Amino acid sequence: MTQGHTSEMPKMPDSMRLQACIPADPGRLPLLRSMAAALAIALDFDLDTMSDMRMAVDELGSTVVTRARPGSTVTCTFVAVDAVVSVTAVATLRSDEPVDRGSFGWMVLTTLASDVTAEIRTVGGEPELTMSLNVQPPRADR
Amino acid sequence: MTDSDDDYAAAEALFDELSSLEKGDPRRVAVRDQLVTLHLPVAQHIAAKFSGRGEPGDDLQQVATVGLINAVDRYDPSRGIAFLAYAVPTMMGEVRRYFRDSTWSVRLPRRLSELHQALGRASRELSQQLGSAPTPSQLAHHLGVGVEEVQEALQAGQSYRAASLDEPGGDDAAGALTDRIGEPDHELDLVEHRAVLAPALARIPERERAILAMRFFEHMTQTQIAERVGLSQMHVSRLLSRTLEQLREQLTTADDSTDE
Repeated sequence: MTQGHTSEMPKMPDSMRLQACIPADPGRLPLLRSMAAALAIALDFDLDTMSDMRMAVDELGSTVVTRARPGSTVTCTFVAVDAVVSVTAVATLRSDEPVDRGSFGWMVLTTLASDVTAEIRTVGGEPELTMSLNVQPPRADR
Repeated sequence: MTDSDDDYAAAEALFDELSSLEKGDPRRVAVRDQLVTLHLPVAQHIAAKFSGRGEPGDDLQQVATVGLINAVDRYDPSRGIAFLAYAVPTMMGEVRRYFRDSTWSVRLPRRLSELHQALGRASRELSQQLGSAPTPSQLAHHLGVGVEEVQEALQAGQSYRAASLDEPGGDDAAGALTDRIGEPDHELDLVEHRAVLAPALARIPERERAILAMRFFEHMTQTQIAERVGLSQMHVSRLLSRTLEQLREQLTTADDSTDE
């Protein structure tokens, strides 16, 4: 009897893009968390995916922010295409030490999200970290 | 002889046995479990009484059970008080504490906080029907309210302060609870850097650790975990986020101090 389509559900545009530029301060991470939650709600993700996405963004944000050079800005972009959300965070680092793929944090990320990447490039003589991941509800899986 | 007389005699015999056993005796666990199981209907009754609708929420029942486990652990038969006379106030105290602690940290319009509670109930029902967690539009349809209202309530739920059960290290009951659930033997050791992880994990209450392991090692969904441990999905979600946050804080500190 319950098929989740109601007439009042607004038709989502095919793509959306949200961006936040926050200081490299862990105290600002709740902003990213709220954005993630708001986007998941707007995309009508199921409650499990919604919560996974929020935790994944929290972990991603925290990984980037704690490595970022103090006083720098972390840019976080959410791109939603259909039911897939790609989250990318970019920051200038304190050091070019790579993100540890054997860590618990990495395991958390790869459990909660797919296509997790972390790349460090030199930009203008400084190491810059780009981390990204994708989140999508299980239905959207083939 | 009535059933309750039988139960009473059985409980008395079990408490005698429990007090005769040495601290480390493995038999203690079994006796304790029997005592908890025997009195579970009392915990359910108390939960039902407080829920005000005859059908206690899972969380409430869980909280009353925690009170029961505490009572079993702390009851001293030599003091000459009947177990129930001791246990009932303990269980009620636990339930009251739950209500006191689960207030909204931000004052919400009554409509929203009521809707948020209804969402918890609806999400349980729908998860069972669908076999997975529902979406906001499915919740709205199920409850017969607008999607926007549901979205608003979910967003507001972000500021919901976790209930007392969520408080870390609040009491030893959290451990007792996972004993009852039967914590599976997880491969927490398999993660690299377990030297860093182990002390951090040791500071996480047992139940939270079990939930963490179910999500990240057994790859269960939150809805499946909720079903296994008898909490709501929203409660599991709050516990998981908070546990991760604690771990992150501790691991970051550890990283900084080893600075490899």
